[in-house]
Amino acid sequence: MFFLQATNQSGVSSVLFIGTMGMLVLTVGLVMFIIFHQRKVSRYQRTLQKMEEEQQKILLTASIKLQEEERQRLAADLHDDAGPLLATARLYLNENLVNQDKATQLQSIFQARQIIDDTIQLVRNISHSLMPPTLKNFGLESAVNDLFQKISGSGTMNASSRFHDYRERLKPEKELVVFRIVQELVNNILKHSSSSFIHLTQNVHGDKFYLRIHHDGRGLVQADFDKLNKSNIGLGLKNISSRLRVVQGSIYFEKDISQTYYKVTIELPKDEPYQ
Amino acid sequence: MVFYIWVKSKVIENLFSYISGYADYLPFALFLLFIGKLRSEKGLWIIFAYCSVSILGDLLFTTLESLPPDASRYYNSFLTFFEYICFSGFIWLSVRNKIMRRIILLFSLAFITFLAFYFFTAKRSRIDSIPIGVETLLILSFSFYLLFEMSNLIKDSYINYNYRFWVVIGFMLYLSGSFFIYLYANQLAPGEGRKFAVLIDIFYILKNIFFAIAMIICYRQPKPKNPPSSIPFLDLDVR
Repeated sequence: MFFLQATNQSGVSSVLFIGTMGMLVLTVGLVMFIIFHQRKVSRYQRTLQKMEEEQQKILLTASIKLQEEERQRLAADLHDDAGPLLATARLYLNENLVNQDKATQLQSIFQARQIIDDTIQLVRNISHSLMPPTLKNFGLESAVNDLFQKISGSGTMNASSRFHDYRERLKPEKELVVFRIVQELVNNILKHSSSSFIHLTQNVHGDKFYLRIHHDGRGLVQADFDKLNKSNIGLGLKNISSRLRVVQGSIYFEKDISQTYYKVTIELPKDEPYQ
Repeated sequence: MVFYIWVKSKVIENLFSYISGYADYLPFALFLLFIGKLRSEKGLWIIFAYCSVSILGDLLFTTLESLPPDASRYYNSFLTFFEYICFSGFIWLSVRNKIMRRIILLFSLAFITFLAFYFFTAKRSRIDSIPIGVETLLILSFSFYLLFEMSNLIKDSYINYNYRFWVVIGFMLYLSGSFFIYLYANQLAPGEGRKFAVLIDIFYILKNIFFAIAMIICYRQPKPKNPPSSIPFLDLDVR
């Protein structure tokens, strides 16, 4: 009010001077605040980006390492199992076979056939381990049920699975990713947890697809998972993370409130229905 | 007295007045110099148009001796209108938020209506203080919003690496520095007004320096390179 009421010349001059300076200080102050705030945010963002890149690098290394291990396993299977079998079959079917009597010839051919059958079975097993036929033909629900039945059938652990709402199938490539994650988790549980049961449930809620694995052995909580994910060990877990990244999913490790079992929850966005 | 020092520095006053008369030529010349790289920036075309009109106005008033008595009043009113259109146009082009864009349009329409109403109804005075005051408040508000939006959107570099930042700082310094002076201009005696003219000259020079910095920054910014339309042996030959 003082500014507006000033009437004489010196009063107006003072108002002008003080007002101008005030406006300038206010403007410069606000601009400086915006600059420093933006710099702070920008620095923070870059640190986050750097951390993200490092994490990506670790995941990529893990994924490459895992792929190489898989190839080595395949090479070993083919070289150590299929190779000797085929070589033995070849021995039975050598050039001298024509000079031998009919009974020996028949026996050799029978033996060779047996070995070739074994080889076919072996190649089929390798192929199934690469892409389970149940998953390809009947989908995730059947493949997971099949996997759990096999575990339960071995008698080492009580395993069961239940899909509550899987009327709308995920896309095949997404199903494969989810199945690989389930396989990896189940493998980890079998190897490290010493649990007596493992139970899988599935459901959908809103636009999200959920899978939850329960087990009563030694398990991980989210902090352990995050720690292992950032360290150089825990290749399988990194593989899970990188697969989840592909399908834009998340995973949560927790211990139940009752403290009697662990829960691993996989959450991913639902697709449009797969025809 | 607060302004004692100004009385003693008459030469500096004249110097600032002289420089401010030519300050518009700096961004004007830089734009023409770098036009090859700046032509795609609509915002800088607005600044160029603003500088051009200021230069033309100055030339008109300095070269023509016999002007109608109301020429200065008409020119001042036009300058307020044109300055608002240029500054708000630049901000409108720079703002990403659609709602804010609409708000700017809405306020601009209201302001132009007010300007027309004021021009035809208000009694004659040396300077149209009230429209200038309203213009300042509007442009300052829009500028703060733009800076705020830029600070939120620019994540991978610093805000001052963007040429728009310097243009907006130019608006803000000039408008906030001259706000009170223009507001009280009609209450000052002619001799008293001259003392404050030096302040306006300083902010006017600063504004043009910031515009020039914006032109240089925009010129130095690397433009994204488009890949060539066809790279041999990269595409599948489907013929």
